[in-house]
Amino acid sequence: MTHHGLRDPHLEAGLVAAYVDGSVGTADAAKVEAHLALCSQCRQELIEVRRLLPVTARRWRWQAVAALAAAAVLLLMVGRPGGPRVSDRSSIRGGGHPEPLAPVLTPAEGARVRGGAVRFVWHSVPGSAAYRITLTDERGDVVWTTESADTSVTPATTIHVRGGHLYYWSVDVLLRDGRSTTTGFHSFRVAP
Amino acid sequence: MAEDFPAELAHVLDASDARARDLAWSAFVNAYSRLLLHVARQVGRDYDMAMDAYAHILEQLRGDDCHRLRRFAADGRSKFTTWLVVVARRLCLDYLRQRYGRARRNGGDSGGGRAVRRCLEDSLSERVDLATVPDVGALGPEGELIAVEESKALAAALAGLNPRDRLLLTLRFEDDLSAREIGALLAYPTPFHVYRRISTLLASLRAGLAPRRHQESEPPPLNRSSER
Repeated sequence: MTHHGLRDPHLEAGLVAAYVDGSVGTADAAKVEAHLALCSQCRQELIEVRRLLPVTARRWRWQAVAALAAAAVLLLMVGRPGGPRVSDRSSIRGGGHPEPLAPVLTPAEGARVRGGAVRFVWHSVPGSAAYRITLTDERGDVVWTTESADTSVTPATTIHVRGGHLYYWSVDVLLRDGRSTTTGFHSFRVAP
Repeated sequence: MAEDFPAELAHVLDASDARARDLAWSAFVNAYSRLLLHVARQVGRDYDMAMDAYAHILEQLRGDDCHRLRRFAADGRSKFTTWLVVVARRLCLDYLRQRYGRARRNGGDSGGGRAVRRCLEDSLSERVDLATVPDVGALGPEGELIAVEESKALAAALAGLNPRDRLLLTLRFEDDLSAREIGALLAYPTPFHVYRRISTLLASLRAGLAPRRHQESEPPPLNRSSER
């Protein structure tokens, strides 16, 4: 991960760039973050590189992943009546984009959904023990959270999402070996 | 990331003769000079320094048969422009250090997150009833021992956090970054999410340390047994 030598124990340029782009795997991201928490020089580099770049590379990457996932769902729904099932989702995984984090299926990033019809669906992650789903509003307040062993969940009817408002959702994947990973936050807007 | 491998770079690396290399290099410089100048201007302190640094970047990128650019081709985990910014910034800093000496740094290494610990200690002390806290100064060596123990407990609590949360607290309290900047670095959707996460982390650290404080405010049992 770092330069292998006593003189320069800092992060490699390629790894810094990949971290800024959000394209390192979960395990590597944890190692990078552990190093950054202790190394002010690498932290400073990360901060300045991020300031020098004009766009949020990481956000673009997530949008691309979400668009890809949405396209896959659409294909499956058109191809087979009844919508995606668990076996369908694993076939999407088999389709194989190299995303190291746990990708979501629906609502896709930036999607517009009807208030009474929000259903969260994400890819299964090998070695998972449980999934924790969190829904927050625009201010980051947690609107609803629950745990599930399945890869889809619908909020109880008592959970009120307001029309015209932006919401964020994320899934934390709790792995059997005690580690965890996450989908990161994805936004959707409820139709007025 | 094959889709992020730009044609200008491929032409430079694949050029078969000197003329083709020169042409490919010109095209590469045309494509990326704005980005490289932007980096040089941010790192160099004045115009001349920035232009010297820019020339140094180009020289180093082309030198030794473009070995630096070939390194990206072999790695390729990130977008080329992101990688180029990291490498160009490093080259600028190396050049400026060689020419003008090492700049004095404001911080230095974290020393295990001293600033984070200090901030958390302050934050904790605001929420503890002062009457229950022994006067560390008045207690002499015993007080110093308590302070050391508290600091160790806090360090252990911080070490128990996952790396991402530790980095979040470090960026906030050590580097004094705004929630917006932290959000951009760590992919939180809004600054509010950053604030929420920090509040949650501080609350859990407080909860973990509060029982210890109460125990320490009681007279040590060893003293009582020695009085018998």
